[in-house]
Amino acid sequence: MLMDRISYRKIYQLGPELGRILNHGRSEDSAPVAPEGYHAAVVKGLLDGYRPGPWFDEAFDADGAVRPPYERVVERFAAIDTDELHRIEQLVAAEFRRQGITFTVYSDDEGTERTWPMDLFPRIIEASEWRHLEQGLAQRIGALNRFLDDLYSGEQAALNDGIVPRWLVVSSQGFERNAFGIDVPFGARCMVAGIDVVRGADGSYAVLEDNLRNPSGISYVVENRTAMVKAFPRLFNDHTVHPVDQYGRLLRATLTDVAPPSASDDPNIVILTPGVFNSAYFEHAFLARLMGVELVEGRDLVVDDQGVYARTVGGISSVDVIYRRIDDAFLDPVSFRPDSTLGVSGLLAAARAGTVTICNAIGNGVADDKAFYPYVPDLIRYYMNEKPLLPNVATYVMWDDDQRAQSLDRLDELVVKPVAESGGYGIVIGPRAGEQELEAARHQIEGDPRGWITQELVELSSLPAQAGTGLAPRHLDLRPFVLTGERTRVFPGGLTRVAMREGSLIVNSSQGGGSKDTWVLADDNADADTGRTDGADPETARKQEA
Amino acid sequence: MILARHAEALYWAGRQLERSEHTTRALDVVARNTMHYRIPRALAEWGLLLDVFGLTDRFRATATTAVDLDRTRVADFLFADATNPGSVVSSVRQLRENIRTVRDRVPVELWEEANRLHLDLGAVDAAHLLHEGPYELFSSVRRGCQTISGVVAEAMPRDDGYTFFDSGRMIERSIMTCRVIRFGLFGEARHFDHAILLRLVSSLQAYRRMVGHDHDRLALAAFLLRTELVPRSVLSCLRRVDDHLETLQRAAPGMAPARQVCGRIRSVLEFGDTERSLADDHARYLLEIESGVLDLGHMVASYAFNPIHSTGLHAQFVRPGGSGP
Repeated sequence: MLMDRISYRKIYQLGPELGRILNHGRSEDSAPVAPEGYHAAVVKGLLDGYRPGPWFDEAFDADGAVRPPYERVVERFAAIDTDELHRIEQLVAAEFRRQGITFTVYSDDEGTERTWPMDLFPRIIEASEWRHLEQGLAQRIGALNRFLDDLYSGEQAALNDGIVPRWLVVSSQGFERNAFGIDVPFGARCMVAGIDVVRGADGSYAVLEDNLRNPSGISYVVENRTAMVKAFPRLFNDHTVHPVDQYGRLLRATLTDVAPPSASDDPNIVILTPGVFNSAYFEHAFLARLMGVELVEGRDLVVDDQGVYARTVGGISSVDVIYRRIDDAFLDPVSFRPDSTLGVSGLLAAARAGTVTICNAIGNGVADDKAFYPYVPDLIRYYMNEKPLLPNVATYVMWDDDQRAQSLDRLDELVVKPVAESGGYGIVIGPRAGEQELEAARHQIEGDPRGWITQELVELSSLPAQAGTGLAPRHLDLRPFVLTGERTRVFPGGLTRVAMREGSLIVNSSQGGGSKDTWVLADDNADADTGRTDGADPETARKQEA
Repeated sequence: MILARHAEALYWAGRQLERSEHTTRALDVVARNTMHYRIPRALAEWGLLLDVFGLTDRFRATATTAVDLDRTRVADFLFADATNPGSVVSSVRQLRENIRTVRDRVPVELWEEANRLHLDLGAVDAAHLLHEGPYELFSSVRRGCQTISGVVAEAMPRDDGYTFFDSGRMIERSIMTCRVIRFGLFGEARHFDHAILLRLVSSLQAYRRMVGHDHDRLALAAFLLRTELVPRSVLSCLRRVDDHLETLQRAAPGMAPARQVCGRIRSVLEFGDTERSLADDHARYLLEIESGVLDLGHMVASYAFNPIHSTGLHAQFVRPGGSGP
């Protein structure tokens, strides 16, 4: 019974309205009185009746009290009604539609472009919490980059020392023999990573998945912020939030870092997109605009004498760095799929000759294979000689006979995932699956133990999200982005994805998930890091940056 | 330098913007004018409009019977018919798609306005509005097109992208002016009233101020062909294209043939005796100018956008994934 756990002070904290509701049966007079000088957050209106379940809610604690970082936001949302919320919601949606902020759902009959769904209740990460995440993510990407570079360009120490079984690595779909001999400056093989992070029942962060190939979503991080500033300008005055619009500058600096030695100080950078029909085309165009570089398709590039060139109206012009947003298999029909028209013939030869840098590097898929994931903490200990700051979610590999037997015994409690899929496809959530679905999963695991893993179910944390006429708890995860050039930088915040259906744990936008603006708060008494050099001497600023 | 593919998208976006605006204006002018006429004359005017756009055969192919030429059907065909690639709805859709492929390199507002125009058109029942409130519909589309032109004028850097966009517009515009003269003024069976014709190319006011009310057919044609100060005259369009080609040619020597073609028509207009040539054989003369402009469009397209002309490129690289030389 919720009532039993609520102290009087907390009832008042929830506000007189909710207090009265929780006090049902009692008279007005017996309602709790606030201690003098106590400033209560008022919860009513849209949050009336908000009841988080037996998991971690980021805005309210188990007793129903508002967590301190959310006080102002809760206050603001309590002050508006359903009509007002819908009005703002429609405004934001119209703005997204007008700006063409869309993503593509391939199987959708309604047409290929769908407007980006954003939930208005923001997510807040406090400065200290973020520092922990930042360090943990940088450490993890540091280790993964060391591993990948050692695998393809080094001595394969982790394999030789048995930290990761060699057979597991070479049997991975993402393992790429073509990557051998292609060196990357600073060993920055994973230049842009998106790490999916979740919060368990105790609120602590854990890594759920590493995306080291072509993680997308950063454009929505920036656009969500733009929309939120328009929708709730005053909220931003009440909080010191790290801005997100400096991503283009950071990405460009990172790509400049990894340019081949033959390039000038201002290397010619391009983004390689599969084209307008790709689900993330909006993001590709967005990044090109943000960085001020060309957005090219495979047919715009040509390789001549081991150099890569773009076809311009004035003839061909050389290219130094390719931030490619197409998969390995489509990059170069000479080395990979011969039927690919998205890639560039001879691109790999050019990369091997060192005239061009391909970002992210080829063959990263081996390290975001889900069967490889359980080894990442060991790799952190091995390569960084540090204790992992962010734990993994407990995971079982199905090629191990004992782990498989134990998992199959309690499949209805676990999450079953195929090792090579992404986008939430192919996942079976044991406790929510029917007998038939579990049987099919069991059958698949037994048929291909290397192809599957099982994980303990994490009841993801929740936040209020729009549901019908009010706000209700919905589960979410977080995908921060980590950039690595000469050094590693974790971009503040990331993409918060939220499941819009009650009880659902699948947050992928391709599966009907939404998103939230994610605020990383600055330290008390500190300004947010704008990355700008307001008034400062540009030369000094550049030196500081270097 | 701009990517050949981007240059092509912008060039066509320019043409489609011009086409959308021109078609809408023409529909507006003809619809307002024909409401004063009885059916046979009204139909003749609509038929003339189809001739100007070179869409008579295509329209006939969609018609099921001979009497199908009525004003609603023509307006619908020219405005709302998605199967007609020259209709306003199709032009706007293609304009939006072309801008979308270059949205990273054009001003954000340009993409937003093109997207807005497309979405606005998609949100209304155009066929119904053509019947019930066409003028409101036409003016909203024209406003949308003019907003895009304004954004281009004020926000687009004068780089290669602008050069191709504006060249596309000017080439489309001069083709349209040529056709308006050739069919609307010297049509075989009939022609437009001169005031209506001037409205079609939005030059009535300018004509009145600069020439007056004397509507001599040859003088009118000469006015639309070679008056430098009128932005829709063929000569002023070609001058703009020529300026663009000159800029481009510095970095892209492959543009030389296109510039030659442009210079040739320019000199015919600039230094020839237009009235006399028209009086001698207007059909031959007008065709010469029009096919010259068409040639120019073709030259720009084939030299700038076709990688086979790129210097120092192996034939085997011309088609990505191709089977070799």
